[in-house]
Amino acid sequence: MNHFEAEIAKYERRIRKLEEHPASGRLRCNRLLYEALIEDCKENLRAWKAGEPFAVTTSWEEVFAAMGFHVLSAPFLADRVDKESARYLQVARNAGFPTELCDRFGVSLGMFLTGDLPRPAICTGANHSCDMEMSQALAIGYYSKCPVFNIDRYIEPDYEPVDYLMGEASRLIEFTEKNVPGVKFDEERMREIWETEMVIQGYLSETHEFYKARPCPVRGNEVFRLPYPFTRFLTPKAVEYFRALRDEVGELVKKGVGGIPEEKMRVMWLVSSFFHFDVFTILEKYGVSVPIFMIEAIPQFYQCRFGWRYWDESDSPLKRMVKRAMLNCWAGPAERWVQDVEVHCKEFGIDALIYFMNGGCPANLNSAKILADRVKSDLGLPTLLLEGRMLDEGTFDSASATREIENFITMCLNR
Amino acid sequence: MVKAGGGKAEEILKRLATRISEEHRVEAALEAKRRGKKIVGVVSSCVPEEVIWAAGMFPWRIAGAWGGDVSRANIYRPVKTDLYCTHVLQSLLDGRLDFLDGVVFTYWTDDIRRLWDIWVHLKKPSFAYMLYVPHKDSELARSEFRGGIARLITAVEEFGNVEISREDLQEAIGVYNRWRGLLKRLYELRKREIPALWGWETLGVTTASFVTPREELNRELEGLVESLNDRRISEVAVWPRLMVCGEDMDDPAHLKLIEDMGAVVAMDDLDTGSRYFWETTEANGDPIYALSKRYLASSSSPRNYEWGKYVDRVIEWARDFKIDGVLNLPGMYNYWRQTITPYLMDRLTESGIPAMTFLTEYRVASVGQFRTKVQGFIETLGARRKR
Repeated sequence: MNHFEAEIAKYERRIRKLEEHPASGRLRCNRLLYEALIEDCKENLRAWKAGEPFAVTTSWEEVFAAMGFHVLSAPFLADRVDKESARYLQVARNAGFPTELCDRFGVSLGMFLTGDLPRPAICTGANHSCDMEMSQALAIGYYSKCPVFNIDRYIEPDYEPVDYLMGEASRLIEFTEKNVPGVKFDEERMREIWETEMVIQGYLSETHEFYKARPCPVRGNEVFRLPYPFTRFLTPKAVEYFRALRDEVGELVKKGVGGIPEEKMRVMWLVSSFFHFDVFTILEKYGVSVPIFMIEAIPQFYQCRFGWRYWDESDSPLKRMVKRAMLNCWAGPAERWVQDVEVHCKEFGIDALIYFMNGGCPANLNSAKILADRVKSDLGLPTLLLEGRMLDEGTFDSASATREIENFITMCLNR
Repeated sequence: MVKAGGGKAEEILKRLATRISEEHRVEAALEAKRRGKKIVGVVSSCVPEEVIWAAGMFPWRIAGAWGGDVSRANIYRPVKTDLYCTHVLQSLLDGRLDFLDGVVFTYWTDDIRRLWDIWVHLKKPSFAYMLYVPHKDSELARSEFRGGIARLITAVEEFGNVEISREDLQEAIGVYNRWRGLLKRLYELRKREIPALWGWETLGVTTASFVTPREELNRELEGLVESLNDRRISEVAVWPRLMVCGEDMDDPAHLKLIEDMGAVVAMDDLDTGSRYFWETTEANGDPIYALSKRYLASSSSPRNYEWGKYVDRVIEWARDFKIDGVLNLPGMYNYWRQTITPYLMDRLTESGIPAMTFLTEYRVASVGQFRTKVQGFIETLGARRKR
């Protein structure tokens, strides 16, 4: 079973589960999400069979979609792998890659090496958040024998030129058109993509406004769900899902319903988590809600700080994309990350933070203590630094993770 | 060993080869400070040191603490992160870098970037500058990086309350090119069937450049290079001739361990060795653009987007220096080198160059195991030679 077939089977299982247990506490609209994902996987299977071109990218999905590619967002694909992650990691390690590398790198590379994903026609990475995304593109490109173009984002602490990144984006298009026969950048298509994305981001922005409510209307595992890159959700079904999500969450807020029975404390969850272990149920036992999941690209996903316009009306769709890419704060100094986190702590009425120190990711590992120190001195908030691996279950100890979380929450509640 | 050039050359070599040691590395800086010079720490081989020199300051490239205790650094940096950065932070937190007036970093890796963040967070020293270095060498990148160097110049001028003129920069470029030229001549002596220097001695000289004022170093190198002409490391050719690839390796003892096993490190692909000085800067025209061009050309490394270009050069060096085998020594948790390793190994194998990869620590450690692995590689090369 290749990756798309496995995904279809997984989402069909989830739909069945929703039907069998309608009162499970999960949002009703999740059904639409699973259906949209199934549609997308089926489309990818069809394109693979038909020999249509695929592009691997970490952050330029829209540009490739506007050139007629089917887009494979390598890190996001890795996030969604369940039990197969151990096998993929081992395949990457057998190829000579170290065990300490970020799981997203190892798993996504393993997916390509095993042939569970189609061979791409082009690979692209960028330094929008971390070094690994660039070396991931280079490694996948090497093993897939396809051309690679990495985008360079020029970042100084107080200076970041839009024109440079625009130049890089233009060169990416030029390079792709030259190296992949038959593809052409379609600006009109790019505009359509942008407009659909803005509709979706509008829904997401409103949804996140609802998450600020007390009590938080949904469970932590609903908040933790990262929207897959929007190009995968440009179908009418996907737009319908985001609208339904906003409506359903809004309805819960109107009724004063909380995602957990009695909200005693609100935690911001940061960076990532164990994808094979439900931390949110532990938190719920103590009356802890998680109204926001904070990662480096939160503003670009949710158009936060809400309603904030970072582009000009006169900007081309490509320039808007470029400006959005520059919102990713992990590429810059830790101060940007600290500021984004502090703003959101205030807006969401956060009482404590849990920072998942994701193994193999120096960008987040080495800013954890800085962030913990700053939110303590600036806002008086405690932070738990929780070390772990997102996907590598082989290194996981559930007893220790549970104890660490429980001890921290007990300490916070006793204050 | 055949000594030549009299005792003076041996004396210079001995002095230079130990200058990076923890005992001696701060001596010249403290002396310069006593004379009123500002000392500016430099992290990474891509900081255009010429700018700092042109401001009348002493660019002092930072090596980390070589001891095993990094407990203070681990408060900020988890265990499984780049060890060079951890050892530098330990030095900072131990107070061993308190004499620095300022520091200039490049945005070289996520680890170095975050080391800068910690430096800023700890507020010591107050002048902590971050220079972005593009990941590719293109006209667009050169032009943007030129702007970056110009901003660095302004920052250094403000920090030192000095003015850096075009002539100052040109003079600095001249001094640095002289130094690069001398080191190039030194490396030429390694191409000989019986090299004039051991690999550990050469790394001692390149790392002496971290902590020695350039004018003084140039004087010493001039005397040394001339007198090494007749020097040979042994009476007969040493086999095998190895090339070592890696990052942040600033303790020559790493190479001495390899050479004590009977090999000679006849060339290196180290950012503390060849990659620190290889390219020269164009002396004519706009000096800031010339620096931009030079430092982007020198950034060819695993961190660069063009893996192929970097490995092409490694292969070219292996051929030029008649290398029998390549030892690729990624530092633990140095992810750029670790992720390029499968590609590098494939390319070297395709080119008929035997190669081996061992993970290493930043400081000299696990010596017995390291020796065993090197010995195994040397014997494998021997078996191949007999076939």
